[in-house]
Amino acid sequence: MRDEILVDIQHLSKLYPVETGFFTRTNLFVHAVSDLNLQIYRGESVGLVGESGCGKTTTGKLLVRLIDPTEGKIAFHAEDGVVDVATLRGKALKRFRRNVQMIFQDPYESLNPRMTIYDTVAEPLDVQGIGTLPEREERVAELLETVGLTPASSFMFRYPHELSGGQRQRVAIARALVVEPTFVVADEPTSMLDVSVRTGVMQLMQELADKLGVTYLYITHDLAVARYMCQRIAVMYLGKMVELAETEELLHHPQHPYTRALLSAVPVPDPTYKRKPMEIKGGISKPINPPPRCRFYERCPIADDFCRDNDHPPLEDKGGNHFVACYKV
Amino acid sequence: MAAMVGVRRAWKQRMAAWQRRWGTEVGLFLRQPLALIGLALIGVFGLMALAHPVLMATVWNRARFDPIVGYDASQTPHPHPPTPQHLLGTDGFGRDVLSQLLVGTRVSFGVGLIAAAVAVLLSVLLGGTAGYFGGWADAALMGVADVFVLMPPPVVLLIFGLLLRLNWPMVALSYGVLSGLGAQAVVVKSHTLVLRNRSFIEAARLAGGGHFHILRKHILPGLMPLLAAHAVFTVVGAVLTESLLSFFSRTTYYLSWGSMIWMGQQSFRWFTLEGQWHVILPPAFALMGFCSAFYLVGRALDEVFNPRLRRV
Ligand SMILES: Nc1ncnc2c1ncn2[C@@H]1O[C@H](COP(=O)(O)OP(=O)(O)OP(=O)(O)O)[C@@H](O)[C@H]1O
Ligand code: SF4
Ligand SMILES: [Mg+2]
Repeated sequence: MRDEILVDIQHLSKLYPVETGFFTRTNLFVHAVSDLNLQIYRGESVGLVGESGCGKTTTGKLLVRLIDPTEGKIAFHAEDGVVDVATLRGKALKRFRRNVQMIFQDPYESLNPRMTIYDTVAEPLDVQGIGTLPEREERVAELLETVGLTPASSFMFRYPHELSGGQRQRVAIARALVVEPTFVVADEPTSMLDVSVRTGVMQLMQELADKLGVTYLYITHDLAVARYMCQRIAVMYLGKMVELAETEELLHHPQHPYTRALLSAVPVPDPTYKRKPMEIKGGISKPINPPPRCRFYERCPIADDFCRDNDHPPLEDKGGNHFVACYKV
Repeated sequence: MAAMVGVRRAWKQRMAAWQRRWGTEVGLFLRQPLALIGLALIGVFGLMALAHPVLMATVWNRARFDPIVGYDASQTPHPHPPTPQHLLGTDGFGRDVLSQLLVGTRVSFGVGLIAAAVAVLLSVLLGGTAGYFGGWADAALMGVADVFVLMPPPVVLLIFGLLLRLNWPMVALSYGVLSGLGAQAVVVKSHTLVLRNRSFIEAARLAGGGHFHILRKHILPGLMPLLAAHAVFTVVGAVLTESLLSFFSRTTYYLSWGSMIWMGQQSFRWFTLEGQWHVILPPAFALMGFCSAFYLVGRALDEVFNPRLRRV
């Protein structure tokens, strides 16, 4: 099962023009996502980790085609053949929407306050014309119970403001799963929730992955969350993927200086394990027309002249499916 | 555990939810004395408008009580103060003031409601399209709106009135167009823009919903409170503007409160307060009452839908 590719991302880039004025055409671009390559296998959960503004949400939205890529290909292996997500239109796009869903960060924003829980969860069924009204009600009720909103009948016809944050996020999860998608992008689904309910929602998502065979791209800035949820972790820095490895491998043998810095900020749960601390200087900036060298150069503690004079390092296999984009490891 | 939610029970719950949602909003609305006063006043004016054709058909003699061509020869001189026959007396041409007042109510409703409907429709078409689609549609449509913003409806209508005589549907229509394409479109646009960028719209797109679905199920319902407020304030503005035009005789000859006030001030000496108050005061108070009624309802709607105004 591990070897069956579900999503194959090739050279994916998204550039946003920087607004300078109404009439002036800009040649400044935010390189939100830049030449990203990643294969996601059926049934696994991949974590996408990085600081705020590094392009995680942009990547997620590109994969579900909420935004159009500037360049690159996203091959999605559906049951009925491979489609290129980047160029889908019309009917094919609508059919694609049954396979791929997204869970948003803020459950206060992602549910329409004027719609009942039933109407929200049933919206995809309604739009796609799936089932009759009684069938939809049955399906929604069943799903609400699956996501832990029991009894369903007492939640179905409530409004979002009558629910807690955790309950709302469960509703959002139910909406994402109602069309039985194979691939779900979860964009920091627990970061806006109270600490007390986070674990519950994470457990739920994991159970659902097992039960329904959903593949996740799990976006988070929290390595502990990624460790709990994911088999593999990809680390992003200013629009570039800098490291990709199996979760435990990445946590125990981080190779990219940025990953090592991220990890030295995380308390180690395993006291026998010693990690060399890595300090980095400065804060994250915006990747506006970045110079043609390693994106991490300005903050890298081990950078040298070679790093300065050469283009951004390619992502290379350092053995054991551990990919790193750095000249010096 | 598979949940069994019978269809019938589901419908009941749906109703209950609807009641909870609108119940609170209607409740909040009705809890405000201002709203109740406004609604009651509108009700009274509604009855007045309905009363006219009924009275004309039953107790009022057409020759003597017609608001425009009626004349009562039995009571001279005109204007004549109130009598049991003419409860508000007659005007300078010997016409029944009460009959005029009731017809004027009908004209005010007509002007106000048509203007409001036109304004709301146009502001949604222009502002909604610009806000939702953005890009060049936004730039072009907002260019149009910017032109209309520079044209305050009362002023433009007074100028129109100098060029040609207007009838009341024309006044209503022009007022609706001018305010709908101007300031209201700008407000609707910015509101639409806020709605469009909320992530439940992205969720609706992921559901497979096209523009039509999103506009109908998400944008339009979200705009409703704003549109309701716009509608009531348009009624006030349009009715006042119509009265102004009629007062200055910039309209064709039809009867409205504005023309009644003009008629009344012919026989009213302002500083000595001598003369025929019964001709001028009824339309003046009616105009004030009508506008206040809609204004109060508008304020009450605002209290309900703008939580920051809500006193907890
Ligand atoms: N619509 C847009 N227009 C212009 N720039 C954008 C747009 N969306 C994102 N960006 C920019 O692209 C970069 C990546 O943004 P993105 O939202 O993907 O980051 P993120 O990793 O999800 O951050 P966070 O953890 O804060 O959610 C940022 O610099 C952001 O300012
Ligand atoms: S390539 Fe050079 S600058 Fe970039 S991370 Fe590696 S060492 Fe640092
Ligand atoms: Mg984000």
